[in-house]
Amino acid sequence: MTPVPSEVELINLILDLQLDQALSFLVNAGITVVAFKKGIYNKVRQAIINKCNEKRYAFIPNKEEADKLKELSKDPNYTTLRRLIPGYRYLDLIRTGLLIKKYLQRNALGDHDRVNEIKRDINNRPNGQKLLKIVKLPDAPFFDVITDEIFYLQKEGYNQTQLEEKFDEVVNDWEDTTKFVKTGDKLKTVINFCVKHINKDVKQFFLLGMKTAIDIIEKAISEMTSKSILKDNNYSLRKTTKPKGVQPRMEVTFYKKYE
Amino acid sequence: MAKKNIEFKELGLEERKLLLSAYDYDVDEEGYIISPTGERIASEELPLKFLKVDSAMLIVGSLDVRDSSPTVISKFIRERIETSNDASTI
Repeated sequence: MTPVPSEVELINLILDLQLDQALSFLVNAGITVVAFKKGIYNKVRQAIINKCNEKRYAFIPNKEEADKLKELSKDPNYTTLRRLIPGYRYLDLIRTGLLIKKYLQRNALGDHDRVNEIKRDINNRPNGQKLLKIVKLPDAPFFDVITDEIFYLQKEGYNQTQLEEKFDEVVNDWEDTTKFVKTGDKLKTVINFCVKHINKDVKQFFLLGMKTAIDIIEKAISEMTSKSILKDNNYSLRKTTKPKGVQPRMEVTFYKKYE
Repeated sequence: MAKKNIEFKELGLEERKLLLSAYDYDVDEEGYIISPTGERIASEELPLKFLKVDSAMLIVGSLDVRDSSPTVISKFIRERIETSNDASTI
């Protein structure tokens, strides 16, 4: 049996190793938790503590996932929201939602299981239902629309607290107040969606469509305008068309005007 | 001020135990981390959940033991890396 090196020898052997390598070396050399507890290797223990101050590490179970989260610091949607609403209490859920989106896009073995695990844990938290809504948002086509809305309101003069509250309000309702119009949707369905929310007096609701669905949205707006549905109920709208990949995309925000 | 470059790494179970013991933490027979004051460490997110040695995040400097859920890691990145990087560009 190989004798355990002396303390001085151990310290010299781990001197140039990174912290994780040093710990592995010590474990392989037979240095145990018991030895540390009994104060047998106090100088080695101090050497480990000193190494902890040399470079900043965070030891996590899944490095790949942590690195993905770190890379998301550069995601344009995340950076926009972080700039607009840096104090939003659920900003970390937005980043988690972007991570989920990455897993769903990659669709490798185990990715769906991991997504379900993350969502289950979030659902088990207090207020889990609301938190789940937030974490689902980044994967939805409406994420850009809602981010644009916050950006627009900032230009209109909303302060940071108001922007955070507005974002929270929109996020709370987004699953009910957004409609992704598809090519096969009937005009009546789209108008009924709008009228339903106007009748409920909601503060804002959204339509989104691409390619030929843009025509349906335009017709819906035209018909509601000709029948004065928006005007009579004190609603207005903001419409933008932007390229999404090679396709045009129309985003419409309907909002209640308060005199 | 230099940018904080915190590196994420994985660490084996026995290595985790050794690192924890260097800071007077312990691990009980069920794998739960015991603080220097003798208590299991509660999750900051899930009620009634306590942190286990194989799944916790161990942040070195002074040792900080936390959950390793994506939201806790995100918060760590935001508070310790992004905020520090913002300050270094001012």
